[in-house]
Order: sequence, then C-alpha cells, then structure tokens
Amino acid sequence: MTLNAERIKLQTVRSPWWTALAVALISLGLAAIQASAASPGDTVPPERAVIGVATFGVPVLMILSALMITGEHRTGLIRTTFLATPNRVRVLVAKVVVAAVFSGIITAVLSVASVALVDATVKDGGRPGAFLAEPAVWRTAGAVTLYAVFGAVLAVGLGALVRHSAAAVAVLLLMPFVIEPLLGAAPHVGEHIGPLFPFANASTFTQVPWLQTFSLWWGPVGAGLYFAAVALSVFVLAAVVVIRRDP
Amino acid sequence: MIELSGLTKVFGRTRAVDDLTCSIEPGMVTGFLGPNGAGKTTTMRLILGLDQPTAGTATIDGKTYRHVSRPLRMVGALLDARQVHPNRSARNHLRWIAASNGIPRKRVDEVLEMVGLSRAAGKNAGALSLGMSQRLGIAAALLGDPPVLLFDEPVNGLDPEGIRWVRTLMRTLAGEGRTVFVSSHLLSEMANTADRLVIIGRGRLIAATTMADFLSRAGVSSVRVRSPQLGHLHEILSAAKLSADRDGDVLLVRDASAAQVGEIAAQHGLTLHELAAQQASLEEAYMDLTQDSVDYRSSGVRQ
Repeated sequence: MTLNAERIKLQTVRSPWWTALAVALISLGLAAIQASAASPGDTVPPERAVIGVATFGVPVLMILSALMITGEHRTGLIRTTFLATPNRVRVLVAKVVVAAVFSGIITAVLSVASVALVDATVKDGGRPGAFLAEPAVWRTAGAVTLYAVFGAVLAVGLGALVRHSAAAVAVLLLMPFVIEPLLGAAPHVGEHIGPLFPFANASTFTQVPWLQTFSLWWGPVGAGLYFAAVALSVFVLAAVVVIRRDP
Repeated sequence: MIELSGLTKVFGRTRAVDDLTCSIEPGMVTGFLGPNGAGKTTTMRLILGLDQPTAGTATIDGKTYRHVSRPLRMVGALLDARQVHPNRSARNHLRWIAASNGIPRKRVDEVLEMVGLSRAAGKNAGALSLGMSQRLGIAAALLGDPPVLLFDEPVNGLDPEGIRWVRTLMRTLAGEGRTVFVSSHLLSEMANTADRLVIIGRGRLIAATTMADFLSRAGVSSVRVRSPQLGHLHEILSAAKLSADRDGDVLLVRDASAAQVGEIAAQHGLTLHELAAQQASLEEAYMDLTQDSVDYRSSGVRQ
C-alpha cells in the first residue's frame, strides 16, 4: 500500500519525466561524442560508451531521489505522508524502492542504448546487434545499473537526514565532483584517503574512467560492495533519525 | 473517543503542552479553544503521532496513532491545508493518500463531490485558492470514512459561505455519531457549532465544560456600586440573598440587576455614588479565562 502510494506520487508530477529526459540527452550525447572521437578502425569499450550515464546521469538521478523526500519537507507534505503511514521506516523503504526501481530502469536502458549508439557509429562491418552477445557489455551495463540503484538508496537516506533540498544537492554534487577529486589529489594524504571515498569506489566498480583512479586492493567487486555498504549505512542512520525526529 | 492523559510536550524550555488530561466524546462537536500559541496544534500533532510526547499518552479508541496500520480509516485530520505538492492535481493528491491506506479509488471522487471540488479536481493543488485548499484538506480527512475527525483551525481564511459549510459539515459528522474535535482561537467561531469546549492556555487545561455551562457562566451579570455607606449596604444585600464582593470602595454584586440594587438601596435610604450594570459577553468570559495565559499579548494602546 505504501509502495503503491509512493509510486503514484512519483508518477503524478512532471519533474521525474523531465529529469529522465535530461539524463537521456546527456548520456546519449556523451556516447555520441565518444563514438565520433574514436579514430577509424578503433573500438570503443563499453565502459567508455556509458561514461555519460555513469558520470552525469546517475548523479542527476540521485538528486531526483533526494528531492523525493526533501521536497516533501519543503511543502510540509511529509506530515501528510506520516499521517497516512505512521510507520516511518515503511515510508522510507517505499521511497527507496520506488527511487531505486526508477533510477535502475532508466540507467539500464540508457547504458545499453549508449553502447548501441557507439556500436552503430563505430562500425567495423559486423552484423548489427552483435555487441549484445559480448559479456563485457552486460558486465558494464549491470555495474552501472547497480551503481544507480545503490545511489538511489544513498540519496534517499541523505535527503531524509538533511531534509533541505539545497543541502542534499550540494552534498550529492560536491562529493563526487569537487571534494573527492580535491582531497584525492592532495599531496601525501590523497593516496591514503582516496580509496575510502564512496564515489571513487563506485568508479572502480563500474570501471568507467573518471578524474582519478586509486589502486584498491579489494578490486572492483569489493569496491561495489564498499559503495553499497556506505549507501545502506546512510539509509539506516536516516531511518534511526527519522523515527525519533518530530517532522 | 480521544483520551489524553497527562499529555506533556516540552520544546527546549517551553512546555508547549503541560499535563493535559481530558477526553473527547463521540457524537458531538468538541471545540478546542485557546489563544494563539496555547498548544492546540501541538496537542493535535501529539494525538496524530507526528510529535512524540515528553510524557503522558494520547489514545484514540484506546490505541496510539503510531501503532495503527491503516490510520485513515480510524482518524481523519486536517492540520495545514497547504501541505500538498503544488504541481500535483487535487485528484492525484487524494489518489496516493487513498492508496496508502487501501481505500478504493472510487472513494476519491466521492469525497471530491462531498466537498464540492469535483470540477477543480484536475487543477494543481498549488493553484487552488485558500478556501479550495481547505476543502481539499477536508476531503483528505474524510477519505477513510473515519469515526474520529480532527480539524485544526478549519475556517481560517474561508469566506462566510465556506465557514457556514464547515459548520454544517461538522454538525452533520457529529450527528452521525462521530467524534469531532475542532480547534480555534476564536470563541465566536465555536459558539454555534460546539457542544463541548476544551479550553487551554500555555499548554494547560483551563476548562473542560459543556457549551451550555460556559454560556450560563458567560451570561453572569454583575452590578458595580459605590456608596459612602458601603459596609451597611453589603449587610443589607446579604440579607436580601445577594452575594457581593468588596473591592476597595467598590462593591460587585453578582447575579443582580442595577434596578434591584438601586431599589434596595432606596428602601434603606442609602446614598449611591455609582450604580452600573456589568454584562460579561461571551468573548469577555473567554478572555477572562485565558487572560493569564496569553503568550503574545499586544502591549495595548493607552488612551
């Protein structure tokens, strides 16, 4: 019931659809740039094809997920939500499921579409759709989709914790694009704390090239688990706080 | 039935609700009165599980709100009509609320019809006027057909027609045997609507009484008399079974008319320097009760 209510909430405002459209344009646009930048006879690996989805699409979807809850705090709608469903953990879980499914589906579709676009542009004479048989394509699309899913968990948790849209958006943008790259590049300390950053781990997991890479002895799978653990921790912390706090 | 027992909520140093104990009965409209900042909204939020009490309990038919799985079928509440997503239509707003409590979708159109919003149902909630928002909030409260209803200042910002509609609605709901608990900071709003009154000030219970009781108390008229022979007059009045209180050189005679006191004084040849009837109005009786508990008093204009 709560899940159905949250699904209706997402579907009855326009912003998710505009966001999805923007994410599609960024993702496919960057895929097209990757394809056109490739020299003749070159192959573009799938993790380069999905660079737009992973580096810009997923963060935008995370902002949308965070706004699903900070927006309710801004309008006071959260009180109506808690009146309808006094079990606040159930509300948070429903929001996470809806956000994760929405982000996951869009990311999965756009990842495959990005590879298809690159494949269609940089053609080496194979039959169309042959890329679908390559395990590397599915590995990449799967990893980026999982990144989006746990990104949604992280974002809803963060939104529930900070309650203010501006604060949530600031964290979600500054963390991957400013704080992590700056601290990671800091002399002496960077190489030590860099591997602990959640988005650095997400990047290692998806293997999509980003500003910097750290050598993580726990490898891509470990990095994926690390990011998921950070996301779930933030969510659990949010649940504990939301149970106690008067909205 | 709503039962409050020792209900207390402390914010920092402020005791917003202070040891409130009372019960709100079904089948009647109970007015919840108090000056602004008296703790009415906080009390309602405590009943609805939005705020957690510092001490005490608030139960509805014996249950704590936060432990009910489909609460909208038990309690409907209008807190702040502006708590909507501005870009979601009125109908879709009610749709998700209905879905959250397993209420059939056709009920959405029923309540829209009941509050007279059928034609505006497709409008975005943010585009509705204050009066229409209030109706949407009431529609949401009625969705689950609940036996208990709470309205926080439901007529705020309504035009006279809207006010009359809300009053009639509350009377109808109570007539159907439901518990109706309505807050207001204006007694006049409640005078024609409520059967019982719960009056609070600074979070404390000042009075829990029937409207009839309150009215008779408000109707008390007294007479103010000044006389050089005040002591003698006091004795004579007491002999005539009129109770009076002496306040300096003034005597306040309760439950008496100016004519009565004047005649008694004339019969005994007493000189009167002042004889004035004092009729307490409904508002005055209310002000009297809540006077000490107004937090945000204006400093007043000296004349």
